[in-house]
Amino acid sequence: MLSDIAQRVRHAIYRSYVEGGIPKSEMLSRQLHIPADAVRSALQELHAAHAIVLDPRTREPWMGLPFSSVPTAFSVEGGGRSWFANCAWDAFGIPNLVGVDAVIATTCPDCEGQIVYRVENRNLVDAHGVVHFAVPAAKWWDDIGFT
Amino acid sequence: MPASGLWTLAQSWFDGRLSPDWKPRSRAASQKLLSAAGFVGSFWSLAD
Repeated sequence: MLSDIAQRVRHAIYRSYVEGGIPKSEMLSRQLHIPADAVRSALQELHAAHAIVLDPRTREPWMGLPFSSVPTAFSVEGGGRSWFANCAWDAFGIPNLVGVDAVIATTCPDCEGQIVYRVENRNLVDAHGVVHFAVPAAKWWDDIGFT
Repeated sequence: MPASGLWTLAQSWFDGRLSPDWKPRSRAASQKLLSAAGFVGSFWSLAD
């Protein structure tokens, strides 16, 4: 069960991501009128609950699945906004979550060729290719950055 | 896994994340979503 503050912080993080932003603790504190140390505690609580992932160095939001705060090999553009996803799964998740038509782009890790998917009316157009999973499900959260 | 299978899973996996009342999903509920999208077998088991 998340605390009320953690839930408010979590929701603000996701609102920021949806709008194409990158949530930061200082911004969250200002926006929610919550003291900075309380926001940091809430971030830690959310991280422990696997509700978000904090950057291990800065302790700022790194991932709010399916969104990434940092550039990745998976870009998603739609509805006049753009995002980075953490993996192929997340890249497919963003258009579903936000509810927009989108273009997803990445690079084949084998041949380095560009791979593009289009999402229209909540359908994946021309669903081609395969996705490789390296980590078994029971180990995903052992090192979510690697996963 | 074919991309089409992953797409099926992605359609349900993130449901509710934008809701102010979202709560972490149970492991059993997540396993059910995986199975429903065809992600079955020991590799997809969330249990340690």
